[in-house]
Amino acid sequence: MKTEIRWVIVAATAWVWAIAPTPAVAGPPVLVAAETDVAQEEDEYEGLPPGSGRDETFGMCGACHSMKLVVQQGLSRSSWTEVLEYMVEEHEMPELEPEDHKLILDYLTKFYGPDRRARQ
Amino acid sequence: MSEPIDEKRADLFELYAENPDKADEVVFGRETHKDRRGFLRGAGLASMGALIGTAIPFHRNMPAGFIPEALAANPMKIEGKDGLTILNDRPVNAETPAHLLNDDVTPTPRHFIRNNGNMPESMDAASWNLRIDGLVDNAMSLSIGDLKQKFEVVTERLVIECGGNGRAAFDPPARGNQWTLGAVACSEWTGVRLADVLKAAGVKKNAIYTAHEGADTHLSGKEGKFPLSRGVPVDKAMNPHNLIAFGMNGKEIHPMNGAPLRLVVPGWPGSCSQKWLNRVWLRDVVHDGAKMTGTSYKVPGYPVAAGEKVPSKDFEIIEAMPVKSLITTPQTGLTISERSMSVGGHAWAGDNAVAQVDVSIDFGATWAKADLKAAHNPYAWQRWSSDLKFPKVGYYEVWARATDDQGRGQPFAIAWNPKGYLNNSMHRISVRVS
Repeated sequence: MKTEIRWVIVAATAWVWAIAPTPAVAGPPVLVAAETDVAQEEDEYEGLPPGSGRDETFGMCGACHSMKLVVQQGLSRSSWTEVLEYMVEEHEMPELEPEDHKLILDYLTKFYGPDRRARQ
Repeated sequence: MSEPIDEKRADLFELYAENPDKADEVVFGRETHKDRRGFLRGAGLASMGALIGTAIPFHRNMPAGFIPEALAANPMKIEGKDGLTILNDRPVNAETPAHLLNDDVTPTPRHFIRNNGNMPESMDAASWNLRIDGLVDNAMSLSIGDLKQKFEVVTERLVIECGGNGRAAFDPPARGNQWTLGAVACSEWTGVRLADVLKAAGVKKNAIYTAHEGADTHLSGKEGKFPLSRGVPVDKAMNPHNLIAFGMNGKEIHPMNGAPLRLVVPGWPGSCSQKWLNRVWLRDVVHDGAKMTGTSYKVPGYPVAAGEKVPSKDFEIIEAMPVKSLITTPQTGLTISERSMSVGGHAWAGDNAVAQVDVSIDFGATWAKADLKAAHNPYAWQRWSSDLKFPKVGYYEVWARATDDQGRGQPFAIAWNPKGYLNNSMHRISVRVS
């Protein structure tokens, strides 16, 4: 099964390169070259690391903008709370169920808290 | 493969930039729902899943025009742009490294991109329409041809800087795109004066504020919701250097810089320079459009401590941008074997002119006055340069400090504010003399 999937990846990747004949960087397709399972999995979530609340965060935030906006941030829990309020009040995010709200807030605070920049 | 040749040949990113829904159809067989969340069907879902090497949770949530990170691996190519740092790919926000901003006139490929929403589906110049209405005597509906025919066409070099340029240095961090230095540019813009058009429309006496609208759409896909609609006081709107622009550096405007028509309101936050402009209306109240309310593009009316909570009512709308300078040559991190070096860059000062630029190589202990050129026209940035001599080998930082004609200079530290605006602290580069 795993081998089959890999072949599909190779074929499909070649197909994309075929429609994009001027890639900025030549070389082996990035997808096949993914070093580790974790890296590959993080790619799937646009760079979000594994953890409780990742699916909910990716699903809710990714409906409108890429995770590149999320991973730039380093905010306190109260600032993340304000961001979620802002997204509901100003940007049409649905009101979150309390358990989803907590999961997302926990996830964002854990991985994108104020000390994030120091760790980069 | 049954897709037409032209579509197959189009660069993936170009295709997505031009028409995300069509690109989805071509690449993934994905159709767009009314709410703009894309839906992957059968083979399309399988191929996208295969492309990123696994199944896609929440695939129903995946928006139209979405390129999975795995496919959008950097360096991402934006047609007609070169060397920009991509901060966000949906919506696209990108800035220019300082050393690539050395030209007196910023080439189009090096002009930063700041998007609040999704780009308009059509940017057709021939059918574009601009409405001027609200509190005016003669409401007008103008094509780009009308603008060219009825009003004097002028070309000026104008600085546009994002209000959040420099946000990345805030501590504690402020939310939003983490712009470092390069959300600023000075391109040559061609268009008609906003003031001339407003005079022709006849601004009524009770009008105090403009309201700008563009054709971009809200990221949520909600019909009729603007991603950004800002305005300026009528006094500022009447400044003769504000342009309704249809040309950029002698050619058409880049799609991501607002083609085919945009406002350029130099010296004020870039958000006043509405892209994809299709309406300017006059109001008798401060405009309350998207990103005019709450704390958007506002700072506290008094100095605050870093991290301080400030009540919303104490925020004031940002008007002119503060004095600032960049060192655009050489690039930071240079090692030289000589004891001398030329350094230079640009300086600009909101609604004012720059009066002086000083340079330090000893962490601000001593300063030397740099050579400063006059602006090509008001609101263009000014070239400065200096020949430096280093007394011995070692690690140096070159600091630049501009002072405007009101005597206001750039600070050492950031005047912290909750939303991360107006960071005009001094730019510095490192040089090693070996």
